[in-house]
Amino acid sequence: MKRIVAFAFAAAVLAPSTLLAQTELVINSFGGAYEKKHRELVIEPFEKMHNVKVTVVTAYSADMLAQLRAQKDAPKFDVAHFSGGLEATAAADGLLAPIKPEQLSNYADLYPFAVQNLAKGEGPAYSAAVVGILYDSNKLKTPPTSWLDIKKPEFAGHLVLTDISNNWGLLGLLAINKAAGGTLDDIKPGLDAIKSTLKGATIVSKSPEIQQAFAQSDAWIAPYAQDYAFTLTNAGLPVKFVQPKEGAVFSPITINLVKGSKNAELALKFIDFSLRAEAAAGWAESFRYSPVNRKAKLSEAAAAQTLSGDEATKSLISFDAIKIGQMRAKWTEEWNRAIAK
Amino acid sequence: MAQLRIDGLTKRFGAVTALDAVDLDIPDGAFVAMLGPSGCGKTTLLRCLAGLERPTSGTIRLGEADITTLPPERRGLGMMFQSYALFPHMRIRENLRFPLKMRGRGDAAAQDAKIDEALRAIRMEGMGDRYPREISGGQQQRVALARAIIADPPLLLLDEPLSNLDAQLRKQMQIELIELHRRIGLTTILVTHDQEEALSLADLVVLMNAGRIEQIGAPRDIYRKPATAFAAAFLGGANLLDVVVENGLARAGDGTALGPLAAPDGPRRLVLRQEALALRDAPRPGEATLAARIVAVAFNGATSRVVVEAAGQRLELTVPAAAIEGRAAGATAQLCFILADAPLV
Amino acid sequence: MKRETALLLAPGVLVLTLGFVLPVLRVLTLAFDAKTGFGLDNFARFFADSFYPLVAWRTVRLSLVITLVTALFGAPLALVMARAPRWLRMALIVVVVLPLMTSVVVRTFGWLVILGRGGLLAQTLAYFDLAGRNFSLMHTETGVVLAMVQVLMPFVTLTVLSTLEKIDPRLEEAARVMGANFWTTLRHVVVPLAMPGLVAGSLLVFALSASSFVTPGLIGGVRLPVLGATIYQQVTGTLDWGFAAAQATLLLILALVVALPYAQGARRAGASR
Repeated sequence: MKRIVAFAFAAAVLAPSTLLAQTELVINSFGGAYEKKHRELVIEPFEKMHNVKVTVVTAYSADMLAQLRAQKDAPKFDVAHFSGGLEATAAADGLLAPIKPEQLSNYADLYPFAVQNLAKGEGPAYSAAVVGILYDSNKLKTPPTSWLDIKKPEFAGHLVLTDISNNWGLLGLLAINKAAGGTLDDIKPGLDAIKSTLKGATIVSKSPEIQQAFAQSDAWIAPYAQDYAFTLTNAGLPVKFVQPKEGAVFSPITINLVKGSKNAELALKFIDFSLRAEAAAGWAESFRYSPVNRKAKLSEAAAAQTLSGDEATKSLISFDAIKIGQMRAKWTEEWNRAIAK
Repeated sequence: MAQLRIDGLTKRFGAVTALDAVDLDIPDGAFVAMLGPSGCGKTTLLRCLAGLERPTSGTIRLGEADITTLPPERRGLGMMFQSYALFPHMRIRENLRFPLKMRGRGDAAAQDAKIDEALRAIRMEGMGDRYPREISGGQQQRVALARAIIADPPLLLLDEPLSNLDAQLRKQMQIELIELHRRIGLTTILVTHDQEEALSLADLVVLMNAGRIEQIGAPRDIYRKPATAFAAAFLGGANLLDVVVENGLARAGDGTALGPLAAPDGPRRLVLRQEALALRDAPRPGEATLAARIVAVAFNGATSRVVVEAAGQRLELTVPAAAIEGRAAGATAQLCFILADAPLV
Repeated sequence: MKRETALLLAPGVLVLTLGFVLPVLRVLTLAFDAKTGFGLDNFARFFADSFYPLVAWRTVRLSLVITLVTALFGAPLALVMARAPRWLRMALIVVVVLPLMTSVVVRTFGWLVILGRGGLLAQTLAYFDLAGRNFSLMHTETGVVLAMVQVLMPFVTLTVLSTLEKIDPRLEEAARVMGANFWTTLRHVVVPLAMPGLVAGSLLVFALSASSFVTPGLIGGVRLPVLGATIYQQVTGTLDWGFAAAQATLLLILALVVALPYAQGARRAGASR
């Protein structure tokens, strides 16, 4: 018995590297419900279509970046998924292989924002989280229109801001800063705008606190991510998302080709496969991440709760992820000083 | 100082009755010993007097005042505990000052004078700044006693005050207690399980058993004339010889005629103190006698303790060591005593 | 030293070295690590403007208030427990210790529900017309103190209880017989004798509140930063370990500066009275 187990074990360990080497892709995903949906939308259909095996390792972006750095000379991954802008760092570190538009059959169908950094060696976005303004549609008959509406006196006592330690809070601050005339080198206008609201604002740092605020604490407006509005709607709250006139901020979730992948050709097929309309629609339907593919067919509900169409996505803004990484510590200090009582 | 009057005092702890309708009058200035085995209720009685236990029923009067339900701090009594209960975080001076301060006796200077006087009286001048842990057990005992009387209480309660001292120190302290009592004439109630201590210190012994008072009397009386078998056995470990009285004549269990006895007919028990018994070859005139066989002899120095068997009972006697020389276990002799001196119970 | 003693000591010394001495040394080297080698850059940054000193002051001030309130609430509770019958004491111990058994996050979200706007507290106060429904203790120092007191009270209650249990009950009886009523007995006998437990317990509470960051973060929010929170942010957010180490060093010094005289003074007060 022992011997049989040992043999089976050895076979299981050896099998992937010997027998299936040519037909296996190693990728990362983000675990939990997201990873489950990832398998359903992309991974399993791809395995079936190409009769290959895709091994999924659960690794969040920062962890993934660390692993890629460690394996630089002999990468074990073929495809890397990133969120929060880490693909920029990975590309700058030379860990990613650039992808050319002609290598992607879906390229023509993708919105420009999804492929804007292809030239910098970063992979395309396969879906996007969008940061705008959440508001209570029962309390506000007319939705807010501008990032600077947070300063309106009628919202005092009903405004919820998110701390800079939260990525959505950071992007919200940068958007407000931009609307107030600031730049990434000068966030003082943004901080001043925030400061002027502090008397009537609650600052939270975690998503559940936003739900709490809308559910119990008479919150009316909160700069935050669109997909979380969906969570709140599902919780029965009358919360809607609006894209401010200065543009909502998008935070791409990207798919990247790992430099040195032994299965680059198959990996590229997987990347292209991830960009097709059905996958983009699936992300929108289940998590309200905005689709990157023009041809994504959305249900009425999903269409209303995501951004799609050339017109709507044209004004999406993004910030230089590398610059954000460099400035984050300094901004955190300035933010802390601005908000502390 | 005032007379203490206890009427029908009863204390129950759940199903246990610790005190069972105790009546007791204690005259002013008396030195009373509450004596009995552990669990007899003597400590409960003392705690009721101090106000540390609330009696289930009955009354306690001190002079004119009914103090039955008065909280302890308003009774104004002095009490000394078996463990002394000196405050470990206070110096000796402050321990002595405590009752003065609590009762508002005089200003600080007057209190100091009183404390100095007390320290002198217990021969501990110059030790007032020590902490209790820095003095000996005997000194702690003296401080505890001084603290109990420094505020001139009308009544002093002593809970097994000498039991933590070694034998020699105890003897010395007993004499000091007697002197103290004679000097200030303070009504004193002592609780003890040590019959020798009770007999030597008190002028009135209250013998307690199972929540009741068994006998009250002067030490000599209670020793010589125990009212009950318990009193006889607890005080001095007396022998109880079963006899039958028939037409004014007492006979032992084996039928031996002991002599005339003025008592109603029927079975009786004769209290025979150890020191009232003698072993001889033949009785002296006027002595009653029983044939006895020696079971064991224990040499104690000046005296010897002898166990004999007579009239089917085992009896113990204490005799001068010389009187037993030449007799050993197994030997027979006459057990002699004066019938008229032996109380009946 | 005997070989047996050395062997018995070894595991404890090993754990202390690995788990305490080495990390503390590492923190100290990090704190004094400047661009030019050994230096005070990290400390200079701390004192560059009033922000961090004010954070430190809030930390100490809140910790002192929390310590005081836990002592005021926890010690009398210990007294009640010491006097209570055995079954009641057991039940009270369970009730007091229960918060410690609950995850800090669960407990804190419980407070959120109670202290928040429209929460239980606000509703109750509104019912008695004592405050508006908008009343909230979330993101206030009062809220932080409340939540911290709840979880830290067992440290005072249990240490005081254990010292109270060691006090000879005859001492209190003696005091009563000598003319002290319940309260004076408490003041002159029980409190001084329970002082070592109270000191130990409140020092524990002070140290724990000075270094806490989860509850202050969740209840107090980001606008009421304490040193624990800014250290946490430097370590996990902005990854500035040198500055975090400097703050940790200052926190340690602050705790010692406050705690040592307190312990001394309390011991003296307990001994002399």
